[in-house]
Amino acid sequence: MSSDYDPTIVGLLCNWCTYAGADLAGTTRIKHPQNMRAIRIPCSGRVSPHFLFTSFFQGADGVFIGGCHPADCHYTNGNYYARRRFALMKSLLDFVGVEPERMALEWVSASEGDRFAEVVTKFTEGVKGLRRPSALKRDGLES
Amino acid sequence: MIDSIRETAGRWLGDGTIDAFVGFRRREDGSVVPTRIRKAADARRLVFGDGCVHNLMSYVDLGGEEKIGLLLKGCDGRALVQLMIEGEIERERVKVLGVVCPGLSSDGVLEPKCEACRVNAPPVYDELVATDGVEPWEREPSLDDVAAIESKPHPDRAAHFASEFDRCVRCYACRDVCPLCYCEECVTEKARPQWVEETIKPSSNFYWHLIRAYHLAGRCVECGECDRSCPVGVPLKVLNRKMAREVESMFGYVPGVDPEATPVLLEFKEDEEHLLCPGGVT
Repeated sequence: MSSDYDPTIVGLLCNWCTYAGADLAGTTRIKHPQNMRAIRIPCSGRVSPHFLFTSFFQGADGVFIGGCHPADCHYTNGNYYARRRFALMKSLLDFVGVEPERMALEWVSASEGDRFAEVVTKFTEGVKGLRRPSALKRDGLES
Repeated sequence: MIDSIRETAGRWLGDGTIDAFVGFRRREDGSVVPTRIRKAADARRLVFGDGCVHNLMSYVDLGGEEKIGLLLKGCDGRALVQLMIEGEIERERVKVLGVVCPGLSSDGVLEPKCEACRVNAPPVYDELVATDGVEPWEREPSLDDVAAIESKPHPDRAAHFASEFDRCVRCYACRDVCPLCYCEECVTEKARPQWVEETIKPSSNFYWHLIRAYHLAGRCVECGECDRSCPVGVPLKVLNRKMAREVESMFGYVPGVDPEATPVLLEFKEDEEHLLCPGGVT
């Protein structure tokens, strides 16, 4: 399982920025990997630890969260709260065996289709570089 | 020492300062258990020493009206302060009889929870009982348990925790004994959506221990009651200790120390972009 490792990535994308940025990347036909399954959320501040934990147990190899740039949150400061929470979720998951490359919180605005493609490509390559599935998959834990 | 504990508890109950006092008593078989007394005359039964390991903040009815007297060690006192920070209890509702805890032993061996102790006297109190030869102190205990996990590669960490959590019988003693686990409806009891499966199996056990640790991040006062009460020896404290160190290094916050503090996930600073690095992809 090296070059043919095709990871499943869950994308939790803010409705007001990254989700639109993903749309822009698509309509302007910027190439980027197809591993990510995009889920639209109202704000990066909506991301509960359950979203990450459930994604990993149900089979994700990586979770990518996209939110509005600092100072640009549609709800003023949801992304600032998200940043603190995400840092702790990542520390905990890292401690119990999920490589840090499998989790990212990135800021992508609605006008940054090129940036969306760039960060998603980098993230996907990072997960692929691990050359093994996440250890937290339910199927793996219970096999 | 015990005389001043009994005298103070008796005085508070006698003059109506408090309605009840929570402390420890010795049973006929010699074991020590938490006790709640309501009469000044019962204060003579109070004891303190080895065996008094329980965190007495777990016995405070947070929604209640009664005025309560409490015998608090350093760890118990930190739980009180964290509950005050979270707005769960008014300082005026409790009278605190603090003890400068000498560290508790069992069969001559220091209790594991005391090995991990960071402060031996409560941060707030109304009266403080001195212990002969013991000064109030703060310290940073060994983090060997955390370092041992961190020295493993990621797949081994996951395998290690999976095998430890595999024993869990989901009795939730760790939750129920925890003074900071006070949600009226725990996530384990929610069905729509059901984040945590009730069935005992590797993935749901793992999930439970992850969400327990996350929910206590920035809140756990490291009293070690979860570890002590687990019937199957799941290493719970190591997760809490890891998260406590992360919170401290990221936000400079130590739970249960400053009653005026704001809970760490209820505030933010604008210039915390460093939290996303290293590990951020850009």
